[in-house]
Amino acid sequence: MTGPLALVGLILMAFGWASQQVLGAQTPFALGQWLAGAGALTAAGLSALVRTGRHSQPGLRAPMLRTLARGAGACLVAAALYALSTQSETRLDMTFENSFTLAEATTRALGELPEPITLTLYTLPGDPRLRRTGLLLDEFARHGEVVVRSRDLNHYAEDEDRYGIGSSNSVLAQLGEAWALVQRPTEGSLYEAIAGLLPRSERILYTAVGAGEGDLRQEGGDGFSGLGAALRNAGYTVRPLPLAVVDAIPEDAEGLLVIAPRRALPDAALAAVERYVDGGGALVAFLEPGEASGIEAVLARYGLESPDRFVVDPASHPLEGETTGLSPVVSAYATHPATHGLGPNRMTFFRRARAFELRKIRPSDRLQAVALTSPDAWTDSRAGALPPDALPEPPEDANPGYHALLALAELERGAGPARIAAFGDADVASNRYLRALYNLDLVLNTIHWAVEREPAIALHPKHGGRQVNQFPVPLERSLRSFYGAGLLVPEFLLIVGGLVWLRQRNA
Amino acid sequence: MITFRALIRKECVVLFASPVAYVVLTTVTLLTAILFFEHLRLYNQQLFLYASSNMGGFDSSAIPDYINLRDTVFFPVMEQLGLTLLLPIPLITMRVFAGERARGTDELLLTSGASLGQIVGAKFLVTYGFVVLMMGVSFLYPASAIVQGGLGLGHLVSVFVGLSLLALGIASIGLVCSALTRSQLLAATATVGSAYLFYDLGWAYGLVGPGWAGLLEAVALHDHFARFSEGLVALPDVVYFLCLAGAAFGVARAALEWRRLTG
Repeated sequence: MTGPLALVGLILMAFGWASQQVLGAQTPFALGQWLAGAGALTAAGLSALVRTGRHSQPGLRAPMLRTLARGAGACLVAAALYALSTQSETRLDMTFENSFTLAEATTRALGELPEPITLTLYTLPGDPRLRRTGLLLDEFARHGEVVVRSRDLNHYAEDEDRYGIGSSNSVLAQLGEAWALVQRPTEGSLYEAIAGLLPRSERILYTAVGAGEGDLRQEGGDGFSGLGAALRNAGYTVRPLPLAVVDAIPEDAEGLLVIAPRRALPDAALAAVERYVDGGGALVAFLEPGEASGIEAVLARYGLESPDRFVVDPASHPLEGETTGLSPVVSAYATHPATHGLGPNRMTFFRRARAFELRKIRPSDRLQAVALTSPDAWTDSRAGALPPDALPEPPEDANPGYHALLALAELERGAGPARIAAFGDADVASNRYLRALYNLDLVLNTIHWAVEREPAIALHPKHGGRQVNQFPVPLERSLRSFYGAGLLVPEFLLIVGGLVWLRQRNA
Repeated sequence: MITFRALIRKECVVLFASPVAYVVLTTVTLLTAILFFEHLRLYNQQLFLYASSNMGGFDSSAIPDYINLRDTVFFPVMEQLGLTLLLPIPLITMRVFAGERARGTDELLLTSGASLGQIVGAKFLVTYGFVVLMMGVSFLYPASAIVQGGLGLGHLVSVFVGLSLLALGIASIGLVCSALTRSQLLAATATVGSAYLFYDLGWAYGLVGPGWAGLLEAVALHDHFARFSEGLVALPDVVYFLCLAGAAFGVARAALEWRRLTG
């Protein structure tokens, strides 16, 4: 009976499978086939066991049972070991850009969730990006109170209209009644969506306007809207402050941002800034070479002098259309909360910067250069006028050595401790370069430090990760290299196989 | 240890003295190359379509981000290579136990003085070694794509380890099937059938409840390979393939012992 039963079982199962494949769905017929087939195969197995047991000598039955138990035991032990291993969360992220290793800022945001957040992944069958996004969402779920679910867009058309979902592989983040849609889910975009949903206590940052300063609302490469968004996600309320027409910085200011004014600020405005710092305020200033707004003089009064000279760092590669050395890449940092996590492999990028020279005004002042050029850099007042293909030469008065592109000061002027952060470049925070390398981390963490919010300092997730190759690979070139080297391996194997066959035939 | 080494040497000689091993290696290498070039051709064609629709020359900003060398060529080739393994591996595993039994040489082996664990261990080790060799050879050419695909060496290692473990998983099923029958054809057919059935059980998730779907996901071969392919090496996935090999070893050993008892 064993053989016929096994045969019938296999045929039934094959037909059940074929029916399901053809119809694309499970039908009562297919289910019946599966069940009957499985039953027939089980019966065949049992029948084989009983038959073997009957035919064997009685003395062999115990060893045979032991053998069966050993085989079954091996399977059970393997299943138990695997079940045990699923409790472990040990995993190695081998991706180049650490796509599945969440940044500190993300884990911190997940830790601050007041209630579980729901991340819904909208899918369409066959989308190759879904698996990666699913794994990323699983990673979020491992680090916080996150409910991950998946919805087929074909079955949830109403969500498409309600939330404006444009395509498959979109993620909807819902926290209570609030929600945010992420169209291209990466760790960075998911972090921003979650951070935007978190309730925050109000911390007001004023940003100087009216004298050609960088605008936190302006889109485009030259604007600073990216910094504005990052500050809002970090829990700040950003308010514009026309320095030229105010005689004091508002009392509710956590800090004051001055982003490279292009026109000279009135003396009254500069005096207001000084009074604010003397009163224990936090000033974050971005300078540009070739500009003299008066804020440089304010910084100099606190010991952060910045001569109007371009930093030339021959160790840095030129940008396209830019003179060599005028875009220093910083890999040397002093140990400081503002440079948390940055190092030789986590660089920042400045474009056309000026440097700071630190001179203590009072013995109690603490000044520190925290982001430095390479030791081969120098400063030159005329380098900015050089044509793109020129190779700058050190002038007579060049002062080669490390130059500070970011300097920090902690001061005490009687009314409480004040903090100043001065960047020698404003492009470092512009939309064009804020997401380049680790610029966002340096800028945001420096602001956190200046307003004495050190616990918020963290490395932030990167947005796009590594750029993927989207250029054609000519088939002819690939085929040529395949003919040249790729065919040698199968050719060699075939020759050896043929020789073995001939030897066997002749033997 | 000397007996075990002798058994390994014997298995190597038997394996590499057969033209089947070389034919399998050649076929897998060529199949991988064909898969690779087919995907490369489709990738170029897609880029051409986008470039043509713009009529202004090649503009990479107009191409959807999912069309790239990594996602359109490398990953699909690796996925299909995994599925392709279902055919050549049974050709190798079918002869390991069933071939020996059909030739009658298993009697000699069982009475040679070597323990059952040594006999089965040597056969498993040599088969696994061959499977890893096969993966290495077939992996050479698609791996060159990552030079331009921006994948990174770590990710490449992860994909290779995943593919090798997947191949070991299929080989384990094949070795069990070979140990349970005397017919090489039946062993190969049963291996293809069972490995195909267990390769991806995603189609069945909709038919059963979430609890059962979780169980099916835990059993399916492909679900454990998928994370390697994304560059994530998770301990449960590695343990899964090792446990599969361990269980297969136990069952094959029990099958050999059963035969020694029943004759």
